[in-house]
Amino acid sequence: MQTAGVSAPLEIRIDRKVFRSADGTPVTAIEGLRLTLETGGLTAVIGPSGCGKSTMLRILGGLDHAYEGRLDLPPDLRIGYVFQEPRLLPWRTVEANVRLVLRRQENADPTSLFESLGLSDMRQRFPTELSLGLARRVAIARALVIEPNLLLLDEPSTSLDETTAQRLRALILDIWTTRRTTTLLVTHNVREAIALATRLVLLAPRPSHVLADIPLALPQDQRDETWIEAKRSELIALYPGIVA
Amino acid sequence: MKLLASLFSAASFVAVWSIVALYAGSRLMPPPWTVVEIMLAEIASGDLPYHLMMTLGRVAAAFTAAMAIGSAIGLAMGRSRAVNGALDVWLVVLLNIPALVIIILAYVWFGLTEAAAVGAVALNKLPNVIVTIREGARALDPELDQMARAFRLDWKKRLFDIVLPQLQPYVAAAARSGLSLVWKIVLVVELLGRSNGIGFQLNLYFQLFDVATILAYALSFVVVMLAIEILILQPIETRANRWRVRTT
Repeated sequence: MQTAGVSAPLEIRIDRKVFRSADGTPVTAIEGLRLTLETGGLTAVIGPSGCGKSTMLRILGGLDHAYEGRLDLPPDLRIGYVFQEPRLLPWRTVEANVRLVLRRQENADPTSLFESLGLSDMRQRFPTELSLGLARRVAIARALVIEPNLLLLDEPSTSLDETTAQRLRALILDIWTTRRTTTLLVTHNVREAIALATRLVLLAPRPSHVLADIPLALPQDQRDETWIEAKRSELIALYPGIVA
Repeated sequence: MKLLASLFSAASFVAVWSIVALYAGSRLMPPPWTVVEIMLAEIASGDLPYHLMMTLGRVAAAFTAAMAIGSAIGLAMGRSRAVNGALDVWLVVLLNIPALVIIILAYVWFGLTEAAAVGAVALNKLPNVIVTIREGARALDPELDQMARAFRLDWKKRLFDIVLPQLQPYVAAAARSGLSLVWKIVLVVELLGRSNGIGFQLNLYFQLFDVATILAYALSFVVVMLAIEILILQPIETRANRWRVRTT
């Protein structure tokens, strides 16, 4: 397994991103957003809903080019994108969905990947047979099978019951701990961000920009409930209305 | 239960036909057994299989051409506003020209050739395929398209793994309605300008006023098309839909 990613940091600069709303009026979603991602970190981007978190992710993932600004990305960057919805092909088995994103020359064997994600028994199932939690795991497997050096996670625990969400968080942490893939996690769940991330990036509401950049030095396995809760209260006091 | 209903339906059809034929007692309304007799005789002589094969060949050629070209154009029109705008008028014109006019013009302009015959049939079927596939192309899931772009999938995977499976119900619908349309038009094409095939034979026996043989040919052809539907089209559809069944 390739553990390290690219060595150069990723520079994100979005000067302005404008949407057209349904009635045609322009809405500035992002303005003057600057973010540098150090290699190997697990950065959590938090902010109120509608603050342009997913938009930023789409721009970074190369899905949206209609913005002012520039991305400084290394040419060999391989992005593993985990969307908010699993976005699996319902007409392909779990295994075929994962293999789909492999290029022809890289005939990687995903067996160990399926094992580590607890999907070994699901390989021949179809996505329509899976629960949302399992489908998300398949989507994560699909992102990991290309050995990404940047992993993008868009609200991975949203719409899941708390137990399943907790298990998924543990899984994400496990993946990051073993691979040290540069990871960008977008979430509106502050506790989740505090529990997982090595760094918190707080986005302001529309037009979005970086409001605060908070490193979390304590290793994740030493963070307990009280620590997380204390950190959260601290953030609420500092940024009322943004952190809930 | 379904089989029983079908059997009953078929039996009542034969019964009604027999009764009407017996009452009429006319050469113009032969009973089923006469028709079957003639059918067997025509099969034994090799005439029916020969003409049937000629017709089926034309059906297959015209059907394949219309499906392939129509799917490509429909996909392009559904995905691109520019292409749609450029071809829309053509499509409306083609949709509204009577089949007979296309056939006559094809024969007049390109001669009484096999290519003109098959081309005319394909051209008649083409606009229906385009319209159906265009609807499918417009309904493609943008989220899966984003996923494909995020993982930089090549065009082959996008087409065969993502686009075509989504179009599959539309392709199936176009194929279903297409097959029945194509074989009917093929008979007209044969009647007007070919020297073999079921349509040619029907024309011949029409001039002889031999209704029994006309029915024998028509019936054998219907049986073959039904067999294609049940033995080929339906199993393909079931196979293509096997992922859907599991949701229940």
